[in-house]
Amino acid sequence: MIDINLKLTKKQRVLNALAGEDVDKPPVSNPTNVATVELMDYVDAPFPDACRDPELNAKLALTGHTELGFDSIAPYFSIIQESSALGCEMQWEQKDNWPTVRMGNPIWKSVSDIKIPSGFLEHSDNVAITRSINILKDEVKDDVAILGKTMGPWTLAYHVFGVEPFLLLSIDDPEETKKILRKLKEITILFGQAQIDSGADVLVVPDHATGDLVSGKYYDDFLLEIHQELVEDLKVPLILHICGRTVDRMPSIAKTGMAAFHFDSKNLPSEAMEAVGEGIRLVGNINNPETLYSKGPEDVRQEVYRALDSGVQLIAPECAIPLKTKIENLLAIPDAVNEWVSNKFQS
Amino acid sequence: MNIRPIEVIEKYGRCIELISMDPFFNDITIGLFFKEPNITVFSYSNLDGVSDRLNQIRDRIVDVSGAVSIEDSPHQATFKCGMKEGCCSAPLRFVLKEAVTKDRDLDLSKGIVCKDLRSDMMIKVNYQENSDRKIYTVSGDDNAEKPIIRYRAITNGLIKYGGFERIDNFSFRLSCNERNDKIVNLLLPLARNISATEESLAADDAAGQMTTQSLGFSAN
Amino acid sequence: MIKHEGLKEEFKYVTKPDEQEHIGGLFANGDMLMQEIAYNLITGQNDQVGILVKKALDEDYTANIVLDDGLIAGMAIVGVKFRDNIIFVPEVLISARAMKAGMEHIEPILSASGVKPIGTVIMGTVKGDLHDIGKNLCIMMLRGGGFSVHDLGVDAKPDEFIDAVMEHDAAIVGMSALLTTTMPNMGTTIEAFEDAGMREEVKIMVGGAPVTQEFADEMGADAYGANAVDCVQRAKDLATSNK
Repeated sequence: MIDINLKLTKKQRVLNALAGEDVDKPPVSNPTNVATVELMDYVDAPFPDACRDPELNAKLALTGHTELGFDSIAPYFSIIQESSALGCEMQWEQKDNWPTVRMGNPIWKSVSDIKIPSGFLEHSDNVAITRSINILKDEVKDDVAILGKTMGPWTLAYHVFGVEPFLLLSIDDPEETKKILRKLKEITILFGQAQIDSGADVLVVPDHATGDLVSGKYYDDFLLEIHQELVEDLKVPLILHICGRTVDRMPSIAKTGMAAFHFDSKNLPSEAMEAVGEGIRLVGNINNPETLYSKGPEDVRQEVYRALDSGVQLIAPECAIPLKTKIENLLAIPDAVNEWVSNKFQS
Repeated sequence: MNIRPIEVIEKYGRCIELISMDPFFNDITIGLFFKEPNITVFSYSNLDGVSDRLNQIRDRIVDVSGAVSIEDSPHQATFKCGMKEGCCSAPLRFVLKEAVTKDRDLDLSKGIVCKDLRSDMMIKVNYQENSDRKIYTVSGDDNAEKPIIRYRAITNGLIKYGGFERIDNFSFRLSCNERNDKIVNLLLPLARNISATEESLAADDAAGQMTTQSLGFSAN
Repeated sequence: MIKHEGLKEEFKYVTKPDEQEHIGGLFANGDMLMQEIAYNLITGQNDQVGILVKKALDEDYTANIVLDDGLIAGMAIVGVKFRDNIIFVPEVLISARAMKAGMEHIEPILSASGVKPIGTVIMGTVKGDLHDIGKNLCIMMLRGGGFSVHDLGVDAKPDEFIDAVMEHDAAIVGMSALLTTTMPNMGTTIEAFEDAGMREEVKIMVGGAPVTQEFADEMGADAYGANAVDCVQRAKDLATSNK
């Protein structure tokens, strides 16, 4: 519920929304990246260095709050840090492109190969995140919500086994697949906890069992129970992120006990709200390639309104924004939320 | 330069186009902003020499597009029409890319001509004044199986990328009814194969996007 | 006509009239063994496909008949089901693996028959692109179609294509891209062949989800393959035009 008389810090706003409690206005959040090439120049922290150096990382992450007016900051821009620390072959790319894992050369073949390397948390690509969270915590104290991120076991499996081999295994030997997911879950917990210990208030858990590749039944068979266990293991609000068309699996996602589900624009806000019912809050779902990247502030405003009118509790871009997104479109998001609240609640 | 993003937008208007990495200057990001009547070349980078580089780009924009420098206003230009209601802003995406990333001499000494890609024709665009209208017409040396179809397609491409006004199937004019051979000359190579230009634009747009395809999490 | 009960059920997923006609036509001769192969391919039973293909060959079915009426016909239904979201990638992968199991018996016959391969193809996903599911399907189909294929894998640079053409004396290059950002590297590779003075020596075909005929024309490719089955036909056309 919205109570405009409340006086909340940005952090309180985010945490209240995730808990289903009253807020002064819906928070504007970034479970996924909102850094852009312009912001990289602004603070002199370009990719890929900003992904690998904690101080550059913190400088860039902070701009989400100082320059864009979001209620949260998120230092983990991509999805590959811990996979690099596990020893995956990496393609770090350049300033205007995303680092990726070379899944064509996977590091593991079976459950017996899964080992967390000694010094995993001390690997520089993990420290880039945990140390950045320390820096950000010193900077923002309790004013702004810090969102950590830890890859779920399905995404980790893609990275360490390769997409095709893992999907083949999932249909050939579901039991072995489940064992793999359980072992990889330990990495999710280890890295997630390290970020909580560093000061993260919330954890985003991307786990890409997307409708592009697997059916909704796969979510029930392989991930629902594991996601329920993550809620027990990681004692901060969790935001699950799955890209693509996910309405068919949202009723199950609503049973995980996670605080919120970050959903993609391929799902209408109204149908998503109906699918999850009262089970979980929703974060999203402003379209990236067509709206935030290609159109203007007025189109952004319309999508924000559509989400808010449907009852979406936290507003965010649907996924990591394109690195060339124009800043004026990002500024339009909190402006639109403020305007919506003003129109609805103030005469 | 410590000017904040919200101040940049207030001062210079909306960002029309970004070049994410200037290949000739330390990979800085170059933005082209528009607030009537001016376009402004801007970068958030604070490296030494940025201002000179932005001036250089502004001068290149003037060279390739027929824009006019604004005296005493570094990094800024406009068009003769004053760019009322965004006039002459449609091709700026291509103008910026040309000015920042390419080093060509867009020679007009032979008129506005270029070789067609889909036939052996030389395409030319002629200018004439008719009453008070300043009209450009597409034609060529007819060295193709169905030249009329090519002229029509190229006219469509020029109108699309220039934001021009159609006069007929082969003729158009600028919305502000000014003469600007440079901008037509810049757009002609792009207009001769719209699908290839669109593919190139789509490739530019797709860079830096995170999708299930780019992550490798899709079979499509 | 389809007599196999399981295959009849699978065929119900083909709902478009033109596809019903085309795919139905692949089973027109009503041969039960071929339909058994197709059904087992669709359901991903790779061991069974291997056994049945061997049985067919032992019963003097020609390798080409088994390939066309059994394996390729089964894959056609898989393609429709995948497109229509009835099955997802894991199911496609096990069908592709079953196809490969059948091909292991067919390929040696095609190459041991004393008939030279129709041609040699160098296949790869272009620089910067890490996708290979489509490319791998094309390679299987090409080998089954009588081509000798050398796979460069993913993220293949122009020089790798050129080196492979020279090493294997290949006349056809096939490039795949699944990202619009990597598609332009097809043009870069073709230019590299031009720079190396080798463009006249090879025929170049391209494919991949975002690739179109128009793009292929603009890049200067000789052919465009819309899917794995089309890829084989294009390669056969190019091989014929090479002679």
